[in-house]
Amino acid sequence: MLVGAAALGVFVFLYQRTKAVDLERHADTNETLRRLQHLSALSKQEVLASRFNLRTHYDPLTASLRDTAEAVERLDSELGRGIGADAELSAAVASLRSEQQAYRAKVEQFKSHNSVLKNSLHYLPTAADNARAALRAQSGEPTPASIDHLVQSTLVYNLLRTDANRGAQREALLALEPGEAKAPESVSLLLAHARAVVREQDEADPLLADLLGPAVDNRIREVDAVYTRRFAALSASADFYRKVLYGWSVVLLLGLVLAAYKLKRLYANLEGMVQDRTRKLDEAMRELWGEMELATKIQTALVPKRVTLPGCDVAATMRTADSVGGDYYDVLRVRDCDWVLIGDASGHGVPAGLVMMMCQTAVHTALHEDPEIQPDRLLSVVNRTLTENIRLLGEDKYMTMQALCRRPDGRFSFSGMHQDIFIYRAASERIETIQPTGCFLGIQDEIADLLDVRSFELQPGDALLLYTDGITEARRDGKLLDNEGLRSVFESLAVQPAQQILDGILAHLSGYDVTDDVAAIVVKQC
Amino acid sequence: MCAWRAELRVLAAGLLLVACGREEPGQERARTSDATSVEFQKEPIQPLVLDTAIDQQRAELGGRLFHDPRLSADGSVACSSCHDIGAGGDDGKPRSIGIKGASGDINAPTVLNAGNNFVQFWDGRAASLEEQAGGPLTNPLEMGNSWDTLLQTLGRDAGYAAEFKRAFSDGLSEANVRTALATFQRTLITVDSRFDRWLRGQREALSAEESAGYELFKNVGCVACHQGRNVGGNMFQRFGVMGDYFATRGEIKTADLGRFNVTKSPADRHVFRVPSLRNVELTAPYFHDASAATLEDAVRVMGRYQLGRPLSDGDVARIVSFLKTLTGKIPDVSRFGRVQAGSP
Repeated sequence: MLVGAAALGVFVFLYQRTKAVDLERHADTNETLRRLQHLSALSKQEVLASRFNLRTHYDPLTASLRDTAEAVERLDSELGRGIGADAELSAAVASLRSEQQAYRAKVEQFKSHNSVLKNSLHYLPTAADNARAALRAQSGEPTPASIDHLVQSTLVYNLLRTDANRGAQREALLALEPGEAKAPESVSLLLAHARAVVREQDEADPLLADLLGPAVDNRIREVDAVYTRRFAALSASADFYRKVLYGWSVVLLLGLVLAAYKLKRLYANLEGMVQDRTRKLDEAMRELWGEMELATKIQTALVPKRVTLPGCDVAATMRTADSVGGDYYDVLRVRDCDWVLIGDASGHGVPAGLVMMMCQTAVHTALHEDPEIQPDRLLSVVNRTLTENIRLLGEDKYMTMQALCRRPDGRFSFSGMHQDIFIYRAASERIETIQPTGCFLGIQDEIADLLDVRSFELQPGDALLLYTDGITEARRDGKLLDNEGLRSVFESLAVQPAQQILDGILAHLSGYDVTDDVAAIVVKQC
Repeated sequence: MCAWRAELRVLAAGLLLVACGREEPGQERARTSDATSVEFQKEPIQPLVLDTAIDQQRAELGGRLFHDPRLSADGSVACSSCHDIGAGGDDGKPRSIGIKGASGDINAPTVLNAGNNFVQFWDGRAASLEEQAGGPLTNPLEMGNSWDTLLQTLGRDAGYAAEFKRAFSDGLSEANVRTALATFQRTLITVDSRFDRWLRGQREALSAEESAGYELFKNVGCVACHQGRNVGGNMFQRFGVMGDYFATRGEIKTADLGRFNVTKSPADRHVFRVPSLRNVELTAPYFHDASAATLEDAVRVMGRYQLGRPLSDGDVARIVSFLKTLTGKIPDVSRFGRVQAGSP
């Protein structure tokens, strides 16, 4: 899996490297570079046309400068997206931007000077006419030739800007300047415009020469050259990775073919492996169920087949929730004591069944070793054995148990913590409840101090009911039968013989969900 | 080789370039719109055209912002307070009134056709309408706000928040507020003036005096600076090229330095963006210092200090009559309401 992921990762890496060159962005960048060259030529054309009155307004020139600025920003953005970060290219674009901004500033200066120049040039003949007329009106004499000379020399300088022509214009000015203060205002205006032509032309023409120069074009070519080099390098790199990718693809393909072959062989053996595993599973299951059947047989054998007590009508039952259960009851005579025992190992199934069987074995052993043993002492001895064995099993188990001993005088003495003891008193036709005291078995080694012995006596017609919590914890519609429910059923059946009492309880229980082991003993005093 | 021969070669090369017949952007735009009559394509003034590619959603949002006094720190001044579109795009005052009655330091230019100006403000310090938008908003003499406060104010308005989400993928931001305002201003093009109709061939659109006024406007040299579709707005020029205007007027203030305040170049002292003369009859007083109360005054000042030629009263009257033909159709913005400066 890891090898496959790594192989795929290498494939993706190589593929990404082949995509370092975006041809669409490359085309966009080239188009922008060509557009910049076109706009540069257009700006020069507009500047030239404006200088020589072939253009009557500056909107086209202004638009070309604005478009150039936008194209530079678009180029910067395209280069960033297409090529990525590149110091040399960024520097080239910054240089272009700076040159273009300087160009734009010079164009604005040119426009200002050119406008004044055009205005003064246009007005010069009119200013000369006005000056001549004013001088004639003032002196009555023909106007001096110096006015014509000034106009001529100024226009010639405008046409051919040479030092000689500048000198000639300057001479013409000097010829008129001494008389300016006394001359009419129109003469001052003429001189002002003649000076303005030279002044503004000396600003506009050098700016024009600069604007027609190659500075911006050189920056564009520089960006183009750096970009072309960078793009070529990236293309070469992408080509290299493309070749590696082709080779790697062949390797991956061979790997896939090999994997497919192995998979096919694996699938071919799979069915046989499944059959073999199924057979082994069946054998294990048969072995397990065989052992389970044996455990069930053992437990069934240990449960008394028939229960009797002298002078009493006795009935008993035990039903397990699983094949093997944890409920326990026993009825046996040892010397002059008829023992009635009932208990419940925690949980159910095989572990609970083992505890139950250990308990029964311990009870029988203790009774035979000491036939005169009292109920509390019996439980103490059984507890010691049970606690040790549970510890050895490594199980977290315990057991509730009651031990009753019926003496020849019919008196019962009992001990142990289990369910309440119900006694039906025929005289009062009421149920008497004896709440047990003591403690659970299997939790601590010594419990002698926690056990006591109490006693009761059954009169003729009285009935004793011992049971496990599998009965009282049965549910119907979410509600437990509980002690009160069982007590009520017992009360309704108590006048009947023991077996019928038991059958009646079990019949009532049939309407409940029973999820635990169930055991019950009914002893009716005859 | 004689230098003059080199000059002639340059001239010839230029003429050859032009003769190659490359298309001018201005010509192309005119052709794609309601085209200028062929014989008038060589005129120094070109007709106005509407920009049909404007995002109307952003323009509408920008119009709402433009007329909203909550853009100012104290909620009393909107952009429209000093640029009343229905009244010519300015406020008719020598100095505009900002928040808390503060007086501005320069005559507010019109926003009409401002989208056609090559730079914004008298000193050209903003390259675009987007860049210009921040100036008045944060100027303590105008709207006196900060972008943080303004964005919080707009953000609390559910209507604005929703409109910004609809118009911009990234919603409310400083850049988008600027874009919305600029987009709205680009819709404020006053097409269909009588002079534009004359340019398109309707010779009856101008009277004889107005036609004569236009010819005079060209001959005396006004078109050297006031040319193009905005009749100005596409170049810088010194105020006082043929006479020292500021020496005559006196009391030079910082605003009088013009572009020098931006470039710090001595050559840029008293240099300003040439204003557009579109709708000029509506935008008195005139010049950056509002020193000319009437068009006649303004024309006389221009004649003396910029053109360096005397203009008779008749010439002035004819030029003024021509200038009045540059008034176009002012867009209807009445749906945005009207806010006077200083109103709560």
